[in-house]
Amino acid sequence: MFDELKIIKELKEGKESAFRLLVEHFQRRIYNTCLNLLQNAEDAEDVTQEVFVSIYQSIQQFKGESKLYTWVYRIAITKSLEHIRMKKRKKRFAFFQHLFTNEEVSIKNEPKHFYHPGVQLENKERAAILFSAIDKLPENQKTAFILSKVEDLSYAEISEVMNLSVSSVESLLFRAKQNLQKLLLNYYNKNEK
Amino acid sequence: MIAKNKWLIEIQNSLNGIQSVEVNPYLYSKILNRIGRKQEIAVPIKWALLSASAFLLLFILNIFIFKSVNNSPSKDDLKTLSTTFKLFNENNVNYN
Repeated sequence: MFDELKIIKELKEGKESAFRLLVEHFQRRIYNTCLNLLQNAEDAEDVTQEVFVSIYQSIQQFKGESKLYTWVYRIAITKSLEHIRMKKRKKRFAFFQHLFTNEEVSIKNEPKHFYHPGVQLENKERAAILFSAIDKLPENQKTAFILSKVEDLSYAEISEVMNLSVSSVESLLFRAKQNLQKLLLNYYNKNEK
Repeated sequence: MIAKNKWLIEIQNSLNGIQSVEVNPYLYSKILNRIGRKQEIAVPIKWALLSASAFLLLFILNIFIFKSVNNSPSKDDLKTLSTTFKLFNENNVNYN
């Protein structure tokens, strides 16, 4: 049984057993959230580790104003989005370096599609197209969509994690679905016709 | 149009029944290892302040020593001293 208050108290006292329990309790959810946001298994593992290191180092600052899972999710989302931004910056820098120096700078080619290991085999190709469209959504729409459709969190839970009102979450999801539909139709017109 | 709509619905439903993925069984050890590395890198503030003040002290001492070297006797003073105590070389032999 995961007793949240007891775990927080013991974590603040520096007990390693409490930290192990926390990792065991949240690791799967956090890893999957990172995987869905980052769409890369290696990056997801790296960011998951970083999330727990951050929890370990900042547990003293956790005042208990929100639920522990909300706080943990927030850290995971922030770290994942930071990682995405950092990767984009690196790509841009490599591109400009290539333009101005005329040197062969290796611009790491990311795989075109992300094949999620948890998707049923017959849906792999279709899910890859959907993930590619999700990746093009604005940050907050992407986060809300993944938390709702992939992580299966309720609107109330998403609003807690994203620090928004329930109506804002609803509107974010509505816009996310609209944008996804546009992106998918563009894809269809280019590739499937 | 029907084909397009059918394709769209299939794509949108492709995440139905998605399973969560297992994590690396060594994740916990990796996290502990990372925490350990970060603690090694992080220097406690007490030691950082101590080394900074030691550096400052050495710097001030250096300035004092440099000033005292500049105030050392000039060549003329040394000549007077050597003449008074007959410290010059009478043979005119260069011992160098």
